[in-house]
Amino acid sequence: MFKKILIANRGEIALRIIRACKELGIKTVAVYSEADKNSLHVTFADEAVCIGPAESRNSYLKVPTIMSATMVTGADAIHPGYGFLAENANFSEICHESGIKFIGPTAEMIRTMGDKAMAKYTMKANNVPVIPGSEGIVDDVVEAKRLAEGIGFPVIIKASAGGGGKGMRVVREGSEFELAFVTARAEAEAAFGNGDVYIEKLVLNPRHVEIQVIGDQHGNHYHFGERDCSVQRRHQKLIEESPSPALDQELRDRMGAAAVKAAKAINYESVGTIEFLLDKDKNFYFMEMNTRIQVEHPVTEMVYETDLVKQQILAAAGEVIDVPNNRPKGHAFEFRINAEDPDNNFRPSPGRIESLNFPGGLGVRIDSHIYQSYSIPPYYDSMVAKLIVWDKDRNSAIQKAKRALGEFIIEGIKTTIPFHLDVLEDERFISGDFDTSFLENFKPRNKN
Amino acid sequence: MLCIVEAMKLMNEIESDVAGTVARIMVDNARPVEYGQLLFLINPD
Repeated sequence: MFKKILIANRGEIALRIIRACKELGIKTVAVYSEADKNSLHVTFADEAVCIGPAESRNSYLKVPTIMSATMVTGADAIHPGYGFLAENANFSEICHESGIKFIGPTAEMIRTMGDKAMAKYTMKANNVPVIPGSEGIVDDVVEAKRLAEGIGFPVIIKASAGGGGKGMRVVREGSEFELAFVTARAEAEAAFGNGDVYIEKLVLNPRHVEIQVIGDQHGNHYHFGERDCSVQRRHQKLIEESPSPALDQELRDRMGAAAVKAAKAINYESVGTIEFLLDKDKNFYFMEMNTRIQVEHPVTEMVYETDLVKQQILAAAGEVIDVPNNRPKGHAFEFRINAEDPDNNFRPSPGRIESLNFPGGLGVRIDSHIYQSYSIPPYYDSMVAKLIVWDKDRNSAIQKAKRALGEFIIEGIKTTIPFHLDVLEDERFISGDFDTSFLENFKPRNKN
Repeated sequence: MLCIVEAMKLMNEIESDVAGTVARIMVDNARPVEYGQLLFLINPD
């Protein structure tokens, strides 16, 4: 087992990993930028190392500095969290060559599956249904436009290293293409340090249903059912749930089997997620694989009664992972609390938290790095907390979510809490019959 | 489009409300800005 893990991340996920390490009896090292010196992950880690200025590319994305911090503190493994270097194959390779265990897949696995374009090619070769699109990464804007015209508009430009809606643009007609392509590339470069993009046909009004998988170093692969992430704004997930209201056990078994097959195809190790689009006729298409722990992993943890981050660390340490063939129990939601103003087109709202009250009670979980008087820096992601609720069924979980969101007070910044409360009153949301276009047509009840 | 304002990792394309000529740029590249801050002086056509 590892003696000391360096966490190459910040915010709530750094804290989440520290918690798992502490329970496993592993020492932790936090790294932080100058803008994060008052952050909780610095407080709760056993050691902390400042790795540079606020800008991510000079701190959380700066590989030589992170490797130096690892050597200086004597850590024997690095957990990358999500975002930043989590899906950077070169980083995984550098760790390996330096004798440091990267808690995630090998460079080769990231290159095959983490690279969204190559992943799709691999899936196609393994007879998993895929969406029409470019055969791989497209660099040249003229060639890209010609390809898009061949696929037929609307198309979607996606960052190969991406996730979270960054480096992603929908293009409805040819005249919008050039600007969208250039902006997507710039955004991808800024967020992931990799500007590669690919192009896909836009499947209209699908549900976003993803399967959680895990693999160990002994060839064992399992799935933990699905998460439904159809409540998205500009491809950024806002509410996730498990199980999906659209799946029965038969479809869950089939999608789970497809996901396990995908993981086995590359002998995947660590936790990962296979994202599918599910159309209204219940056909599912492989979209991409995320070769990391995901933001929304807690909903799976609640309904499968497991700790995915601990499992990920154990798998990385070479232990045999054994998952009984269990089924989801009850229902869980996750609400992303972002420092954004829902009344002003979700514009970012960084600033100082003047007053804070976290909700509590049975089946209520908060994963967050904020505290009263904490200042949210403008340099990083806007997510400040995740509220996860669990109850025996979907309707009970909705009631619990309303109660918990009502107790959740954050003063000093604007947040998405009022937005979530509005969604919970929406008839379509309550019915469970909605798709990824849900928010485009959503009207909050206090407006018209 | 006049510029891109980056906030919390999102790139926001800022468009001009009027057609015209940029007379003066009031901020430096890659410096933090606040809500309501003057960015450009524009001579309308």
